[in-house]
Amino acid sequence: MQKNILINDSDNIYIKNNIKYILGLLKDDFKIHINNWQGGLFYAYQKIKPDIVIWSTSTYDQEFHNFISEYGDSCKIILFEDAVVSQENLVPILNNIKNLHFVSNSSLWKNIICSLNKLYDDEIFMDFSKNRNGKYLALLSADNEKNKELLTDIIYPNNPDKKIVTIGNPDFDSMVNIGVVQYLDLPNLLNEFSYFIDIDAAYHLEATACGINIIDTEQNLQKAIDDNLCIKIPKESLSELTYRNFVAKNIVRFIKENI
Amino acid sequence: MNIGFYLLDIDGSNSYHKQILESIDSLCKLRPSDEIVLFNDITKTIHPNLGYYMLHINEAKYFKGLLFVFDTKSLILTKTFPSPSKQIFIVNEADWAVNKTVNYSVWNSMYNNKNIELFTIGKSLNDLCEICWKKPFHNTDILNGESINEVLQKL
Repeated sequence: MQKNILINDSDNIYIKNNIKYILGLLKDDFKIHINNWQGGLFYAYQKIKPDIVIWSTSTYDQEFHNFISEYGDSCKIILFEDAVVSQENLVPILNNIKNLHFVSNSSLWKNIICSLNKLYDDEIFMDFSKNRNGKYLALLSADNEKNKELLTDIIYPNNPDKKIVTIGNPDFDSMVNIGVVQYLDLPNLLNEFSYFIDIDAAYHLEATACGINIIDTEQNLQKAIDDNLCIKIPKESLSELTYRNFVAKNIVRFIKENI
Repeated sequence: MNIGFYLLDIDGSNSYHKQILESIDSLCKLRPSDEIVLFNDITKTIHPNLGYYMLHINEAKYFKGLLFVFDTKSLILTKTFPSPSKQIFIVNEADWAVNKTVNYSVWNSMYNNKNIELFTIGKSLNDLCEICWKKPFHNTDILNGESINEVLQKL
């Protein structure tokens, strides 16, 4: 009989990408049920009788807590720690649940399958550029003070010679702020522009995969732009850092070995 | 040559609209042998002595000629029209900097559209369009019949 995996969907792009590859790599061997199961977890458990439940800490609520207390010894649970568990008294409780396994960077947990690395999706981030536009793309931080501090002096109208546009934070007040951006727009942007200023340094892997020059924001930004100081990530190491590879080596292997 | 102008919600109290209509009027005098059409959605008032045709915006979809568009709201409607041989977007404000919560791809589909030429009013808009999108096809300090005629001569 085919085994069942119940996965709670998430808004978090990291979890979404993991789910995508879990589905892709296990769909032939398992029956996979992906949904927003919050508010319906007990019903889903009774109906589907999953052999494994995949959840994330960003959606950890009372219902999920009751669920793992009730079924944590009979059903395997993988919990992605995409948000820090701030309630300290939960730590010993969760560590005592036999079948609860974490994907986490924290040393608090007893059962860790693997740590959460920085990863990228090689199915959508790749170098397909024909002609780059010679311009700079600055991906803004959610912290607008940081944006202002780093960028105000180097963008239009203070520096009209450099063609720098900003994107990704509507609160940043600038004539060259060209809108908000969705994750799926990023591959096109990273293939269109010539230089990438990633204020939060969150998309270096994606940028490297797309072949754009990444300006080193750890340096004085004006100097880094003038001297063309770029960060280099060896392209050979990228294949190890894909969601596909991460899920296959860690999550899928764990599931196959333990179910 | 067939020359069309697509202007939504014409408002007599709007000075920019007034300037556009005056520009079209003076263009008619500069190019008396061309067919000039204004597409608009307000047709209640009859103007007996207009030097150009006025048609409903629905007709613009089938207009075979050059189509001038004046704002992004209009451009969202016209950018997929198959008939106009070319569309010229007259940029008189940096609306991406005003409506910052709009997705980049929406602006990109208009300002970086290969089938749409940008015609900017003022040097700063010219510079901004060149930095943010693409090099404008033409720039003028003031919109009038002559500046539109210059664009037509370049095309």
